[in-house]
Amino acid sequence: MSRRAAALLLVAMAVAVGVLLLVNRPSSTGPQFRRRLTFLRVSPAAGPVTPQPGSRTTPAESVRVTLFFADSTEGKLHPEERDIAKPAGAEAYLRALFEELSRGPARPGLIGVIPQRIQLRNGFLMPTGEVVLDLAVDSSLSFGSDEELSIVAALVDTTLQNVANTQRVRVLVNGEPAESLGGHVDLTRPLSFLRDQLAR
Amino acid sequence: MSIQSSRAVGACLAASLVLAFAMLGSAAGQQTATLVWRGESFPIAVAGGDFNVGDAARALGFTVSRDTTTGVLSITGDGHRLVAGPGTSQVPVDQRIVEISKPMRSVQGVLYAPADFFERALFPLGKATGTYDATKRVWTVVESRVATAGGVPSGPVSVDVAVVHVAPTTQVVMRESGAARFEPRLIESGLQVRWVDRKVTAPFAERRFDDPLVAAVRFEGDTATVVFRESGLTARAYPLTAPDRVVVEVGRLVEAPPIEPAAPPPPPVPALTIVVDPGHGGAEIGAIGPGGLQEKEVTLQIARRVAAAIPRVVSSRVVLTRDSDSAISLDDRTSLANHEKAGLFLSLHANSSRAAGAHGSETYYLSLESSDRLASEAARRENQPILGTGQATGSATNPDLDFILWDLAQSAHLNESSRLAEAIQNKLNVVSKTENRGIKQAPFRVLAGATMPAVLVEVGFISHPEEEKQLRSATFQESVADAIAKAVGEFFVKRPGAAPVAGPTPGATPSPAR
Repeated sequence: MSRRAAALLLVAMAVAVGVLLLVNRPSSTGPQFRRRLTFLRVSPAAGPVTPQPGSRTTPAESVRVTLFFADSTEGKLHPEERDIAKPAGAEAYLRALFEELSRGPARPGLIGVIPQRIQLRNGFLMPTGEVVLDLAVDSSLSFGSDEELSIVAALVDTTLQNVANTQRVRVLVNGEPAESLGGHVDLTRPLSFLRDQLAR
Repeated sequence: MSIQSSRAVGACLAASLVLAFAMLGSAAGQQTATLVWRGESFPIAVAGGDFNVGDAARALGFTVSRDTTTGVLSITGDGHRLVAGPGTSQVPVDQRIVEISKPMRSVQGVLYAPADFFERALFPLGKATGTYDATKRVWTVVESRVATAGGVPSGPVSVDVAVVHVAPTTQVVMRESGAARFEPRLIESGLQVRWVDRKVTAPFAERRFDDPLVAAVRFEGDTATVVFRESGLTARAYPLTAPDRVVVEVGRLVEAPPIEPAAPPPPPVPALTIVVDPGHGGAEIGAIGPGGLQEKEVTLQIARRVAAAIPRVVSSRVVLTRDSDSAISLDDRTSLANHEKAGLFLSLHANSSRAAGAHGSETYYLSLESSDRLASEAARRENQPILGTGQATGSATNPDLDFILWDLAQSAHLNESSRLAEAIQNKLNVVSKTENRGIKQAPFRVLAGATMPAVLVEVGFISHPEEEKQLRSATFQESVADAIAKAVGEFFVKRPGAAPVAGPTPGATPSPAR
């Protein structure tokens, strides 16, 4: 084969590959879903989800999360799974987790541990793999040890359970580093999974 | 026998002896290497391939001191400091952390470390480098050619201020970002601290404090003024290190009482100090019960009773972190205990839960689970060549380093903290008849700063209506104090390897403050 024929064949192959890529590109998702959200720890859906009339949510757009709530007798944390709309990025995902925790449990016998007067100002996923949760905490709030441990553990454990490739959560209070939320749990260092608060 | 054959037999005998000694050494797991430094040879004990840290440090001319409780060695010389302890592969060197290949270990109370400890941490501390010839078992150490730059940090020092009232005095703690020289001057309205060798970055121009003795702290230029609340007060200022800080102690002038000719000699001061910490205080109320009882009130009431009860069981001086409704930071509470060289730190709290059924007492000691991993990561981050410039990097303290130094000291106390927690829970169960929720571990900030056995006692649930009523009652408070005092007594009686400080001391009174 002459060099000219080989060059022509190469050009023809490149054009063919380009056409194939153009035909098979994803068509329906918005621009925010084009990049794969590698930080999501996505569990497979338990079964087929029946689309509700008027609902645009499909199984492909939801993500299963594990949230931690306290039992109403002793205050130990128990997991509860639920499907939420797949968020658009790390910050949205952290905010969604916080909102679900604040919303409280669906299971009878469990209670939410995040007080109304604690809100999430911002949530960040740092390049180092550390999650930063910046909480707005009403200064009039006061806690006992058990209550404070439950709040911090629910936040930290829920975050680490759902956000892949991260082992630490740093909690800021009103935008600043703080000794603790209410005089107990050490927030001066990032925290890893608080297993002692989980029900055995 | 010919001369040759005699020599051969001699050589065989010598070889046998060497072999025998070598086998003996191996059997015991111990050998000796030689360290050559500045033309002199020093024997260095070897165990299982690791080398005796103290031997090598002394050979290089360092001063070596050993903490008998923890087995941690502090190696100092030429303005530098290295801390080495068993069970860790992180080595704090001045303001940096060096990671070595495997943890150091204690063999019959003597600290041994792998070769890279010497290459990466100890020799650079002496501005030297060393190589080990495993065949000859010889360390050859030579002075490093790296140029060094001495001197002290000369940039501005930033200061933050905390005011702590521990009756009858108030302490104003001015924490500095680095060491700085100061001159105190007592004036009529207060005490001035002027930094003389470094500029000061003030945290504020003036801040007023709700304190019985100190009205405000003002900064002007390089001078801080601690303003007295009333006339007739006096103060003194003294420096403390690790972290660097200036402490101004303010108190009332006390007139000397008239000397009574037949005054009995003062009772001997007990050797043991126990710090009791009433949780919360001031604006930080803690938990509030359904009947309105505030945690900060209950903890103070119980702490006063505990302070009175303990000396009846254990000969000791009891110091309260607060004896009034004042706000004290968590770190200052344990700083006080460390400053007092306390034997125990007891933090008292009343619990609260959103779970309506939660009731009973529980005792916590520190959880290190998450911290260990963090320390290791910090070490990896910091694990770079050290002392390249011959001085510590940065003037401020390295928080990760602080943590590892503390971790070395604290890990030795965890077993004792656990024992103390168990003793307290058992006694609370029997004496106060509270539901026993057991001993637990948590990353509580108030326990993290203590360099002694430390526990946090949750005497009951203020959120539980019945227990709130109990917590109000003097009888219950007294039973809790009695239980804790008895547990402390039992702790010291059962303490292994240490003489108990037990024995009733009728008439002994607590010293709620310095």
